[in-house]
Amino acid sequence: MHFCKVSNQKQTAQVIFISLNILLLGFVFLNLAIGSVSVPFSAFIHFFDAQLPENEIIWRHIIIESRFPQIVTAILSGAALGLAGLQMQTLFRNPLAGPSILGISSGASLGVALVTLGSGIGGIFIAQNLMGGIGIHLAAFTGAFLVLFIVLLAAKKVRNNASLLIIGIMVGYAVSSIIGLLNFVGQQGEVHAFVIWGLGSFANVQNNQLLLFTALVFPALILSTLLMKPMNAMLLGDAYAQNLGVNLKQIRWQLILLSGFLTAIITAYTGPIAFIGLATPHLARLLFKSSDHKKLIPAVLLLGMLVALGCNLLARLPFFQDVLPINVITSLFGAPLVIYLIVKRKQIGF
Amino acid sequence: MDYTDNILDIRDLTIGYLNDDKVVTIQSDLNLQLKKGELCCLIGPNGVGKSTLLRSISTQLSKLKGEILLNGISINDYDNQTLAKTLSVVLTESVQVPNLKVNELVAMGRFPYTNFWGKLNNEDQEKIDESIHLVGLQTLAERNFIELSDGEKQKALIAKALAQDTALILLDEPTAFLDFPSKMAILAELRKIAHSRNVAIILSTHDLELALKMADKIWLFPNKNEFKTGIPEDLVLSGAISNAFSNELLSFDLKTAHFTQRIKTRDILNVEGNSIEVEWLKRALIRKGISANPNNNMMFKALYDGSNNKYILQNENDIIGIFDNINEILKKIENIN
Repeated sequence: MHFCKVSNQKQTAQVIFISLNILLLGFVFLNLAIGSVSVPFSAFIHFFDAQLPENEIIWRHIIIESRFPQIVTAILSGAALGLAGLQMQTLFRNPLAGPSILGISSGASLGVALVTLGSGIGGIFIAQNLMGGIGIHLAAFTGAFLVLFIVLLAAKKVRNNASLLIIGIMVGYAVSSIIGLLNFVGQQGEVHAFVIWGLGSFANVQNNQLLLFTALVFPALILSTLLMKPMNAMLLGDAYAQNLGVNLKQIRWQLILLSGFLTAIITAYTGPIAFIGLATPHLARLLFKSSDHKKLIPAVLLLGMLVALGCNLLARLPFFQDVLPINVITSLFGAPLVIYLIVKRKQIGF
Repeated sequence: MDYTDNILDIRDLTIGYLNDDKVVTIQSDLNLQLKKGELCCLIGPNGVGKSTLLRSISTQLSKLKGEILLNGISINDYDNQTLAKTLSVVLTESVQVPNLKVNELVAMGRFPYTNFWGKLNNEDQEKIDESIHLVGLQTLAERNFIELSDGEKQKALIAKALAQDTALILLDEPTAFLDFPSKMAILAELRKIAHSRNVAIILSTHDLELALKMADKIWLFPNKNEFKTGIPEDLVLSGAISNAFSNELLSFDLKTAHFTQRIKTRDILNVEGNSIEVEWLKRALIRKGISANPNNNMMFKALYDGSNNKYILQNENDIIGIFDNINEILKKIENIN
């Protein structure tokens, strides 16, 4: 009898998994087709034709130069943020933890704020003028890694995870206050530019940057999946995990480094994307009714991609075009969904 | 001394912790041994270092001085993996993981044995099933751990420790928060496991009477810097138990192994008879500070009329009152003075 139940549950999980994969394919296609210019289905059929009428060449151009990099960026960002969120929630055994909990995305924001808003305080931050878009990425990168470095130093000093969490949050506050100051002294146009960056976008990565972006994110995703066994043991708490043979210091270091790295890269390229990293692990747990990282890690990767692509799609619907940026969509549509699921399940965890 | 048949051998051990570079010693010069197949209860008042000792043995806490030998090898010389296969713990800290089934929790015990991905093979699955059976949770194996009662949770965590297949199991207050029958059942289960699987078990507990009944060996920490070990009966007869726990409020009754309250009592009345009702009336009187067995004859007398189910209070000549229950007669007696 109970074997029957086990195999049923396994089957249910498989059905959900396959459905999500099909949904993902659908989202990819819709993301290719829908936007300010609708690309008809025929354009995809004739995509690889050598000879094309002019309007189809334009469609092909839009797909290759604009929509393809956007989709890859959304897919990698969603997967990375979901995974980083799961890593933080497991490390701190806290359902409220997410990729931004250690202040890393605030660090990225500070970097960008210094570049975009800095002209008012001496004009030394001219990287923006020199390097354009790359300068923004580089500034965000530098800020994020500076904070990650501080957090890693703190992790070496502080043994207690709760203390480390508070340190991370405090670093975030301190960094945010500097950003606030920069906003205060910044000029109107600059502040607007910074606000726009802060709303996030998957459209910032061009085709020529895509390879580097992928090369940075992909290995960290692969390395993260190698930690599923010790992450499972950590669910029971530090003392039990240690007794089971987990090297606590090492796993903590690995989780902070990987999650911090992923968050830093994604934030540098897309801006601080809210919500996906916090909510995706909860969606995965609710959907698969499991806390086993062997199921949660693939689930989080898949759901992260889906949520990111879904939000990107909503943001590009003709009605919302240029009205709702990605961060507004993620929170506005995602929050009620998660609240609904949690209220329905009446149970939440890490 | 030959330590080879001792699974655990503690020599000149000092335990405590470092607090801001200040050393806080909790117990020192401990010398304790434990053999395979023994159930050992660690007892003593709060704050004497029972948990500290258990955490020192399991290397969660660094020892301050001395040696802890596990199978003749210092615990500090074990690598993580081998130690995890030799020593398992059941702790007081609560496990709060939603969506973790009982069999998944027990499967965690196989962590030191499974491969890089944590895949369970047939042997792992057998050990898990066997452990769940030993604690009697087979009907709850598919249930979520956090939905279990406190007693069932404790059993599931014990099953996790059993699945870890270690020669030594440490349990920190496994009977706290349980009702009396569950306490009894858990201890009986542990003793059975210790004897049948030749595993050494150390558990700390505040349930002195249960410990005296069930333990093969007692480690008694009466206070700082003194400890006693032995089988329960010898420790009772030597007065060690009584010395450790008796105070101005409690006294230990050697015959019943119960603690009784020390209360100054007043002599008011004699209670006559030896029915069960009379015995319970005496208990109620003692609680109210009234002696049930005064040495001299008193003016008042209480007795129980079994044929009418009434409690009767009378002085030398007259019946003062007839009462339906102990509560009513008690009120009247209290008002005599």
